[in-house]
Amino acid sequence: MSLSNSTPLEAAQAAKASSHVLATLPASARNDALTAIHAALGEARDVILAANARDLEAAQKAAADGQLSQSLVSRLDLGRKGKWEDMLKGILDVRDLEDPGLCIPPLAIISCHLLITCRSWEGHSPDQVG
Amino acid sequence: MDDNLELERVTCPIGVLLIIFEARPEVIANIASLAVKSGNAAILKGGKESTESFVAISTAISAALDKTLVPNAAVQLVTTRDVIPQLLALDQHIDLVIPRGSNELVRYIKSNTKIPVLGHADGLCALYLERSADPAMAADVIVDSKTSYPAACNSLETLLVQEGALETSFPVAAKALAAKGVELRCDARTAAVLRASLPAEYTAKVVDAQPADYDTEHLSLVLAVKVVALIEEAILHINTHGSHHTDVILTASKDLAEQFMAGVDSAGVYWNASTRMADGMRYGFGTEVGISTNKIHARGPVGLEGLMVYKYKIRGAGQVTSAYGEGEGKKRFKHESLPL
Repeated sequence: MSLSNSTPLEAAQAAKASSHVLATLPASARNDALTAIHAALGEARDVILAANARDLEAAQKAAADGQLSQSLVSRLDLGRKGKWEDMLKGILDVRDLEDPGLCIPPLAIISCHLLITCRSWEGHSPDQVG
Repeated sequence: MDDNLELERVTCPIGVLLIIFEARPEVIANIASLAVKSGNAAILKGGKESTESFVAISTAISAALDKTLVPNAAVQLVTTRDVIPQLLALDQHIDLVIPRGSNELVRYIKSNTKIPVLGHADGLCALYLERSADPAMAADVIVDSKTSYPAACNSLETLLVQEGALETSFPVAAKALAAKGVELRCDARTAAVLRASLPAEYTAKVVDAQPADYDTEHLSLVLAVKVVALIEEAILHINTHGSHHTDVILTASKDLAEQFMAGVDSAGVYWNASTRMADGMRYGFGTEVGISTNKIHARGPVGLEGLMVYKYKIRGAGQVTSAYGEGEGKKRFKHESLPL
């Protein structure tokens, strides 16, 4: 990830060029990158939480002056119980997903009484077509 | 298509995503993961309140990517202030905008860019309580839809009560809602029923509705309530006043449920289930990029596949179109499916 102080146009052009490389990488390379991101964030935990604390302090001042809502301040807080762990776990969860195709899994059971099915449009009788 | 002329449709990443988000710093790790996993480049623009957090997170991610095959510029954090309008103008380079934040932010973005936007500005979800619905089930579903997280886009905002349910399941549900602190903004008939039937401690929760209440996403413990005669009226109300997000019918009748689910023009149409089911994790997608009320490409809760599109590959041997046609001496396309 680059921290970009470049102009929006330069950032977008660089992103476009990278997208063409990224699109041809095998799944293993993309998954390896996620493993690396997860490890790097874990190592930088203290630095990141300290930076977040500075953001939070400034936001609390702004909230006290009425310039910022209290709900925004609470959303800012990475140190809140479980949030950091959720953030890190989310990276591995995404890594472990199947490589995305366009079809939703044909039959996914999300609880014992709820099914998700893919049904083709032809499956509807004409009088049901809204 | 023809011998030695094969057409194949393959999935591919969309290209460059622009993610505009407000305070939440964890979005950056989440979106960076989704982008890398799906093979899309991403430009992230966050709210100024969390700049220090973003910089710290990005520095760590950047160092990590340097040791991988993913190009560093594939995920970019833009820290320059006040550049959102300029980013939104770059439709030649950016393929999809994903807003993560308030309705005002989404609305602003939708009206200021030519780039497709994945998301929704409003979640004005409605529920139609039909008279055959089991009262206890109805109360459970309505209370969950309204109170489990009132600020969420998939929370219930409008309750449409069929006349036949006014004296039966409706008061049961209304009492359960009032007990949870929900203010009921009722039309004349539903208000009259509740003022006559609710325990005295709850009647203060019954308030006369204004017309605007049926077009408002309250995002709080306020519910608009209205009587309707028949299912057609309910469907018409929802298609006219709703936001095409997620709408529910509670009924014991399969036929009415199917009629409702076919007739309501929303990304989610449910029979006897809570509006709060509208969620990528609950749908089993493994993650959620957003919930779309768009009608092209991704609709409803969107998982990773919403960051993908397809392209067509043809593998030929020098074929030209003028060789094909209906006339004499012309070749015909075969259009046979190939084994996968």
